[in-house]
Amino acid sequence: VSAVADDFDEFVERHGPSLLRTAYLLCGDQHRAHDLVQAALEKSLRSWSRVTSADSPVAYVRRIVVREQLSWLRSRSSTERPVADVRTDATADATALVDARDVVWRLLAELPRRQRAVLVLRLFEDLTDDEIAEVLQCRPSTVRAHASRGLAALRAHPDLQQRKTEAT
Amino acid sequence: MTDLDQLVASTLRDRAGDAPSEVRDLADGARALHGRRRRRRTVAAVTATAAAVAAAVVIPLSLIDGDGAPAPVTTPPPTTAPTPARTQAVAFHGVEIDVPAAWSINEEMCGTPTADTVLRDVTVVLSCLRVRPEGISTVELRTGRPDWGPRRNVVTATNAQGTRLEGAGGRFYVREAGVMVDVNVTHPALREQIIDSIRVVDVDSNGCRMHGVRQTLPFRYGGGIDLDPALVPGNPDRVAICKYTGTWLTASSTVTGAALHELLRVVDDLPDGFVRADPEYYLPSVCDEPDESSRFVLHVLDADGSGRTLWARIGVCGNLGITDGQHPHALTPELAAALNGPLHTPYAFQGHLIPAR
Repeated sequence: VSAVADDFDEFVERHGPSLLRTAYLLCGDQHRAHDLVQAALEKSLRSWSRVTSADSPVAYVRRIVVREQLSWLRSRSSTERPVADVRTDATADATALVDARDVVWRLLAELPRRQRAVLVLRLFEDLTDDEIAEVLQCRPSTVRAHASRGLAALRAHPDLQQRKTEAT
Repeated sequence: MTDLDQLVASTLRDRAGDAPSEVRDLADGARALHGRRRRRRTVAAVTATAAAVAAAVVIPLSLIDGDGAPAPVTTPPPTTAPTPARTQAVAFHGVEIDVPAAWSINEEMCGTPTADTVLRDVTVVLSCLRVRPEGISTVELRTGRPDWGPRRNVVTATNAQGTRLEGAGGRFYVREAGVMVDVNVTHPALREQIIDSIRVVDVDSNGCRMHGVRQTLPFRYGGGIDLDPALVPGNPDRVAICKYTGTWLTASSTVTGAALHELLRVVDDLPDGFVRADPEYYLPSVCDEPDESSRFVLHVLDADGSGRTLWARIGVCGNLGITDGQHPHALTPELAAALNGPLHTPYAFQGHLIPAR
């Protein structure tokens, strides 16, 4: 039992920050990210030997984090507020340029959960479509469809279109 | 990778820096959850009943004693003490509380309070072994998770404002905001009044947004000289000063009267154009870290409620000064003092400033 405990502690110490980053990008809320990772670790603890025998234990737990997030949103209403309020004040000059990353972050919050998860796993975690499909328990073609729709939604947004126009 | 892919990827990398990084209690928390689930499986029916009862019970905070155990009902706190007729709202990092209007903010010496005061984000102090005067009351607001580890002696309760608090005695953790509130107040009735006033808000009583202010925009395009020197034209009625570290509000205040006139005088005297810290006098690598500059949003309001917004930044990295988005003005020691003085907050910036290009 002690060896498992040490092993578990070491795993959390080593991989906790990276799991928290993934969880935060998936849900956009620091506290919920913490809760997601904690819940995923608890599930991992139930069958710790299965985690440690996996090819990549951290990928195994990350998969639980992602699924936990998807099921969390299914079972609870999301409290995440899209960051439409990133602008400092309602009276700010309407012509002011908007920070593109703020726009993207806000738009990510508005995407359907699976589209957001695909973009996070593909563009932050650098997973292949096959690997993402395995995490999300769907076909690679579905992953590509989610990615395509998510990016199309971002691309179509007026704020990003305006930036593109200004850039050209 | 398309441009949009790259933009999304860079956004995710940037935002990943905002993710929580504290892993200390993750393992313990998972174990605690694990233990509870195992027990729940064992005695499911009994636990379900108990949970139903517990969910309906709101534990009055006044019944919690210092170590978190319920205090005997036969010893209610005295209620004869005067409760303050006038209060002031103090905001920090998503949380707002009401304290007596006569209290000061950050009235301390070397981290030791010297009068009835709210200590707001006093995280780094030099100890000089001062003794805390007897009989004074304080409320300390700071970020960070509680250090009480496993939840022994910790009670979760909902206060009069509907805010869920975890803690015991006078120490509470507002999970939703990630803020510790340490209420060290001599009189029990006032103590309970303050605890009941703890609330999570999006906008504080000064009109400052609590969160989500990144405020990089007006400082990206600095250095231009504008012939119109009037950053604040007319005669405003008041200015709400909102101070942010990262994206969170750490202090706020509304200035009127003499303090307002002093602030406007300083702003009117500022040189045109932003300034930057002279790179010969600091390590540029410090700016590779998350920017810890103090950022300010100033809501300048006329008597009829109309107004304008100014942004200011004090620190080491990037363009420094104050602007309305069109007219950049330089950071000076006087500006730093005028913005931080009403908030009673410390500040620091590199002393060698050069014009921003």
